[in-house]
Amino acid sequence: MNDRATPRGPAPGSYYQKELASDSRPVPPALKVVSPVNMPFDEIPVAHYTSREHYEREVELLWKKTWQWACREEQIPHVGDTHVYEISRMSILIVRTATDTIKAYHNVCLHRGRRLRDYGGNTEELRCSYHGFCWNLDGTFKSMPSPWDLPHIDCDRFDLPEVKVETWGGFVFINMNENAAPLAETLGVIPEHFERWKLEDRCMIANVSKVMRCNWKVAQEGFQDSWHVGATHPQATASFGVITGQYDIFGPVSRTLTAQMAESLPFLGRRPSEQEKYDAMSMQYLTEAEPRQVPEGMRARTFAANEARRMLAPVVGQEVADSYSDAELVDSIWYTVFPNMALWGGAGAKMQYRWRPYEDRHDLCVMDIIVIAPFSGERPAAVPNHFLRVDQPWTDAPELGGLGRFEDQDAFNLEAVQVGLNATVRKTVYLAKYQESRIRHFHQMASQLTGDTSAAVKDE
Amino acid sequence: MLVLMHPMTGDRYTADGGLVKVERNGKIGYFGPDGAHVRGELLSADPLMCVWVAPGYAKPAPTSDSLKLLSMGGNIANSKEAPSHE
Repeated sequence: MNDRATPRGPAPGSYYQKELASDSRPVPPALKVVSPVNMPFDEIPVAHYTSREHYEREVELLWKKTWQWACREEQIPHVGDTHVYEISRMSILIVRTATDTIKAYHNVCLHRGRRLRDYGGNTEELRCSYHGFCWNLDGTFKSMPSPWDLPHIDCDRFDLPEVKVETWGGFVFINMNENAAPLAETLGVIPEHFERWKLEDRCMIANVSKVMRCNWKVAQEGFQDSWHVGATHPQATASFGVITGQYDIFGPVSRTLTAQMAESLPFLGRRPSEQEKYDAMSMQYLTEAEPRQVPEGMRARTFAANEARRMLAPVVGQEVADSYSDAELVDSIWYTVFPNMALWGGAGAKMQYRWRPYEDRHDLCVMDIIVIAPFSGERPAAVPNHFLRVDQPWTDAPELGGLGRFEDQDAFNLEAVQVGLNATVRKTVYLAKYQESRIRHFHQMASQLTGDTSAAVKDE
Repeated sequence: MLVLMHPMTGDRYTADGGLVKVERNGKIGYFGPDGAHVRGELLSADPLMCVWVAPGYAKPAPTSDSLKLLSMGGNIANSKEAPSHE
């Protein structure tokens, strides 16, 4: 027992629910739900982040069995549009085969095994660039060169093996398990909780990926709590509800709710001015020659929400903009779609995150960030992917604005976590009971697939 | 020029020609964008504030191998440059 531990923490959700109670608008019922769950897994084996054997188990039992966000529907708007989704050593080809139909295939030529398409784009047929074997968009076999030389191939049984596809919120999900349960089982409460936010009605305004020198779970777990903000993002602590975040678990889904420009900032140990809170949240000191001033007597939270409504009104309409609560406009609201998607909720432009092993490496991963925003009029074309090498900072992607600096701070720590995990003489790392309950939840979900019970191991 | 007060310590961080100038109780130190001390009387700083104030830091956490390469004028990150995909 740790006798230096604080004897008692705040009741789960108490700080955040207090913020909601002072909101200027009715708050959606989903945000008022408090659903903490005591999860097992006080300790996680280091090998889960460092071992090739564990990685191989994940490839076979997790990546090949779970629903994964592969792309946005708007990335393949026209018949014949394709997108290549790669994770670990798997390559999946997503194809819009008709106006209202999306299909996905294992992205491999059935002749000699070449990757069928190296990148997305529009095409009339799926033709291998090696010998020219060809399939129709719907995956049926079309033609081969020198058919006289391949009498042993049954052309009626030479269609591309399919991968399951479903869509929700404008996202295209794939599942390599042909017996997979419907996507709805993975999404759980999300369609209900996101009903007001209509992510399908948003367009991609940023699309950035970066290679990181760490296991994909090390990277992902850096984004499942708001606790780390105090040390990792100190410049934001005058706004961000460090140690006052709410952590919930709903079956397969977990989430964090964290107030911005919070009334109570116990981590900070002092009461910042409302202007300091606003500056810390807006980062306006990075860009604005004439910084906006929070009116005397007004909460920064109210001011920022009003600003957001004003900017949203021309896009979504005054009535809709006015209907959004302060919480929906300014707070950090993010869910985990198991296994590797951070789905951000709320009104306005929202980033969405994904993590995946880079190529077939257990010690490298790719973090993908897209930003989707409401729009009016004709849907803008999706922006192309901006891919950052391992030695490039997130700030090389100016389209991310101040977010790039945040991500560089995370990368600074997360890559060093991997170095430490490789170096440690201990067998496990520790997780907090509440503020890291989402990480515990992830490991519980993963262990159900991988059959790995070693997460119950304790260091000796 | 970006100047920022540390919200918890009150120290003053200033971007200064690729380094970060940190002022605390009358003492001044200069630090790299990873928080490593470069020069000056003040010897310690919050590395995450340095990352924030002087953006662009993307070097991997040093390993013994990368330190050797860096000392020879190379960079292990560049030597293992990963190709773009998606």
